[in-house]
Order: sequence, then C-alpha cells, then structure tokens
Amino acid sequence: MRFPGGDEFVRNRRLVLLLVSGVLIAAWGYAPHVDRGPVVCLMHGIVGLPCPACGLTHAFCDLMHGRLASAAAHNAVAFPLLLLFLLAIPTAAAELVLGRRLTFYDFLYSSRLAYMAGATLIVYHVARTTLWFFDGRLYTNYFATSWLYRFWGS
Amino acid sequence: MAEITFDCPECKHPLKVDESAAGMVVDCPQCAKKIQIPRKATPLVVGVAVPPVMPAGATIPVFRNEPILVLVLGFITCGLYLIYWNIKMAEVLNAVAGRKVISPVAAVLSGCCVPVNVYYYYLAGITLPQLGVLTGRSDLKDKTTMLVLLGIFFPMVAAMILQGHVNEIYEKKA
Repeated sequence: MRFPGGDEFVRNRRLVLLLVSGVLIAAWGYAPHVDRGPVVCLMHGIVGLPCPACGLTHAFCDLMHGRLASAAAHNAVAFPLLLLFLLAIPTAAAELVLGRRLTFYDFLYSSRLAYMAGATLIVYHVARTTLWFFDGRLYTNYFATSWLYRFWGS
Repeated sequence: MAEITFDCPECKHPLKVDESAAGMVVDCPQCAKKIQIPRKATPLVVGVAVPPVMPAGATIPVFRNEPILVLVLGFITCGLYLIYWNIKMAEVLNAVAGRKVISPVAAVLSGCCVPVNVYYYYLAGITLPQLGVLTGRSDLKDKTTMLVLLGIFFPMVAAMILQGHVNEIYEKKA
C-alpha cells in the first residue's frame, strides 16, 4: 500500500494524524444522529448479544460533547480510547517534526500490560452483559432487535 | 538452512538473515534505513529459527491456529477471543519485523474500534513482505491493500487470512 510522500515512518505518522483527527471530527459531528444509527455489530445483528465494542460509537460521541455519565453507561472503553487518541495526535505530530521516533510510549509495547488490559476488558464486558441481563436491557436493546428474534419471533 | 550474518552498514547493528534473502534491499530493524543484504554467506548457526531480517538471537513466538477456528472462536465468544488473538498476532508480527510495529496494548483496543482496527491491519500489511520472505512467498507484498479493506468490512476474514499466512512460518519450519 502506498500513501503519498515519504517513507514508512512518515506515512505511518500521517496516517495516524488523518485517522485520529478524522474519528474525533466524525464523532463530534455524528453525535446528534447516533441514536438513529444502524446496527453494524454482527453479534448484535445475528444472535442479539453485545460484543465488547457495542455502544462504543455512542459513548465516543457522548464524550466528544462532554456527556461523561452517558458515555460510561454505553461503553467505558471510550475513555481509554479517547485518551489514546488525544495522546496520538501530538505524539505523531512531534515525531514528524523531529524526524525520529519518541520512546516515552514504549510501555504500550509491553505484552504484560496488553494482557492486563485485555483481561480488564473481558471482565468489564462480562459484568455489563450480566447487569443488562438482570435489568432487562439485554433483551430490549439487543435480543429483541436481532435478526434471530425477528426470524423466530415473527 | 544457511544464514548470512552481517552488520547494518548504517548503524552497525548485528543482523542475521536467511541466505535466500541475499541481495534484497530491506529496512534495517534497528535504524529503519534501507540496506542491501550482502551475498556473502557465513557458517550456519544451528537450531535458531529467525526471520530474514531481525536482531540476531531473536525468535518468533509460536501462534499456530486453524483460520476457521479463529472465525468460530471469535463468533461464539462474542469477539472476546479476538482480543487475545490481536495481542498474540501483534507479538508474532513484531517478531517477524524484528522491531516495534504493532503495540499489543493498542491491539486490545483495535478489536473495539474500527479506525484502530484499520490501522492494525495496515501495520500488519506492512510486515507482509517480511513474512513473505520468511515463508518464500513473494506475492504477499501485494496483499496489504486487500488486508486493510477486509479489516474495514470483514475483520474476521482479515484475521483468518493473516492467521493462514502466519501458519506458513511454522509449516515451513516443521
């Protein structure tokens, strides 16, 4: 894949800047319409179960408009994701200007930290799915809007 | 399998490559400068499985899996297995490239966020040429765009394809 200009180092940083700023602008602009958005999750669409990403678009749009409680209710993963995005922009810009890789974020290449983050994400996802099962949201927000339910429920 | 050991002409970092990569122009895993692999072969270092260009002594973590199993496990665990898969694949691809290409921590988030997932498969695509040299497949460098597009629309299919290519490393070793 070829992106215009520069070697791999420059291309990667430009791509980060493009993707991250694009996501932030899109999330800010999409926020008023997010309730009418389509179901794009295969798990939700087919079997009516949430995946770890379910609710993240909603949560991210909420965060971009400062609605912290609503963001946490939809998907708390939006918080570390926004932090990562906000750090990525000045870091990639600084690396482009300096022409060298910064090393302060090398801890993000730690496998141990990755497994801890993954385990936290799995525990969080199981906990919220269990909570939604008992308060009925799993049925109303997910199962009742799935293809499986529509097929068998009709 | 014969190997060539040499120092990077730019940064003098010791490197070890498969003899089949002689004459190729690659990125040094240490300084990222373009270097040409010399044609002169040195005595074989026995028992060390290394990719074509990576720091001497480094090894690739074993992560062999049936591609269809990636799809099945990803689906029946509602995507939770793919979090583990992303981390393991990041470890393997970093080892193949011999440098820090994909952050395993970011790989956790890539399973949740499409733009991060796109970047994940873009970075995975960057390592495909090196993976291709390792497995003797020169056609892999042309598959980066396909991998990125699949990463956007059908990430599980992209994962299956990537797993299939990584499996070839272990099949070639066996």
